[in-house]
Amino acid sequence: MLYKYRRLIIASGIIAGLWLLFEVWALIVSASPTEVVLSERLLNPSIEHWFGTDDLGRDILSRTAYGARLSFRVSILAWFASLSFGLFLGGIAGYWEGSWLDRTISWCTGALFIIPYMIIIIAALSVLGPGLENAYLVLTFIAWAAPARMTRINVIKIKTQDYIRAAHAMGFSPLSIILKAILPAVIPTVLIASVGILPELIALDAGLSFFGLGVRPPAPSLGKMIVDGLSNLSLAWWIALAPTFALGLICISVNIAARILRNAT
Amino acid sequence: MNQTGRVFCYYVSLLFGLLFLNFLLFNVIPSDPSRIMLGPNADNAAVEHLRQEFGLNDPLIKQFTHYIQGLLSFDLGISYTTRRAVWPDVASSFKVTLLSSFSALLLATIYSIISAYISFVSKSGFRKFFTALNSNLMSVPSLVIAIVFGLFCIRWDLLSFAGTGDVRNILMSALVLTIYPSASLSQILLEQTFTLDKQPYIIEARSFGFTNSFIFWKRLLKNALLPWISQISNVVAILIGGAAVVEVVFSVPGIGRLLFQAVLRRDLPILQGILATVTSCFIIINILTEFVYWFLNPRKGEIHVV
Repeated sequence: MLYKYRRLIIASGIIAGLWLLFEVWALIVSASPTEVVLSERLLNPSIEHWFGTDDLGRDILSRTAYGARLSFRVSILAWFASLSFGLFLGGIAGYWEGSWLDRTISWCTGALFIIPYMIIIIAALSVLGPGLENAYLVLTFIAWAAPARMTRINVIKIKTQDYIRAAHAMGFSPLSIILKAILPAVIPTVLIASVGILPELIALDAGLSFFGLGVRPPAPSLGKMIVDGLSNLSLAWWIALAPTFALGLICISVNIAARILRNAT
Repeated sequence: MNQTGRVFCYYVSLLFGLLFLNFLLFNVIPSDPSRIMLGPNADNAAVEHLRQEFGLNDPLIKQFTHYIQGLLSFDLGISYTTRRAVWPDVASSFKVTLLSSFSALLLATIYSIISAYISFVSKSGFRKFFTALNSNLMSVPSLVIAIVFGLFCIRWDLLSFAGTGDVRNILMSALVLTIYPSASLSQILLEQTFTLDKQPYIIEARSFGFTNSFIFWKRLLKNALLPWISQISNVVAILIGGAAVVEVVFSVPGIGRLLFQAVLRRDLPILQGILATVTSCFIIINILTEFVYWFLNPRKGEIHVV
């Protein structure tokens, strides 16, 4: 049992462990992430401040921990939202394959694959106004396409099977067939394949806060910290180092977890 | 309707959909563009005058046709902050971005073909190595690569030409930008190479005693490049998003830096102009990709629909 699901356990262990690490870290760090101490501006890394302080004297280690925690929360929530949204729309499109509904949904997923979405979400967010809720909304709006397309293909494959036809014969409504008979059968495949979009969501979230469109300052976020470090890059290289390192670590580990899962199937 | 017509219709509908979205985003959702332009303390008569001037009191359809007419004559409006026409600024910075993106794409092409060649010819662990490397490189955000690269440049004092917009500056951003397309295009080519490896016509060529190198260049590459080409437009879409960030880091005067400044100043006409230019350019790139695919595909008439 344990051996059979070893890949699943390892992969979810990597993601959950990393998330937990930043959650716990944010709890136990002593320095406040937003407290401005002007006497401790631009300090080198030391025992007191492991990664130094920024131009307002804030401890970079604790800011990184809070920022990474927020990054995880945003992207995992957006991932869940886009996954459920994509499963539902993909299920509908696959069930009524060839209808106008399917064509509309497929048009949208196709469009979302080929447009330069980074530019579009930046423009959309600067009109809607920056903030966490809008960032969730926009990320979900972009990311539902991949799970929807995967669900649609799997539903088309599965819907001619006998137990679905039996459900038809017993007179269930299409919606309850989709929700109770078809989707449970395709969820595992889609779930595993769509872990791969999680690193992309994390990168997008960092990009949004890089453009100042994520969470509002002074709350720390990885992208905003990198921008702040950028203006001091030649003077104080350590400001940008910790958030960059954390972002790269998160993306690569989640990607490795996704790869382990994908090889399992 | 035949396949070609359908593909064409798809892209035209996509173009209109995106332009309509663009129009809605900037002309309908913000409560009052003229209020933003004049500031919160302006008197109502001035705001009303500006609304008349911009045609904001007209019905929506009339505004949209007016907007499309403006696009066709490259009139993208006037910037809120600089009070200059948007199009010249967008065009000049878009040229820089296109240059760096295409040099990045060129480097990516070279890398992907070389990596596929090495792992095809030497049957050892190279394929596993490249696959793992590519997969991890693909997942690293271009922001991280840019910062790491920038830190090294500062270490060796290489950033003296940042912000000048000369060739070295553009090349620097191209070097960072090339990581993502290299990895993802190489991944596609590697997969395709090893799918085709089991095809009868390759086995046949091998049984004739041709060397692996000959088989790769003369028999395999052209077929392996087909799915590669169909993926290029997706890769470029992500590449442009990365360029937006990388150009801010290296202060390249491209579309990314213009976008960054426009977001900071909430300069909606510039944002709208960038969005319209980039999306229209993308539709053109996609149509070109379809055409190249059709041209290279020996099974003519079978057009690939994205």
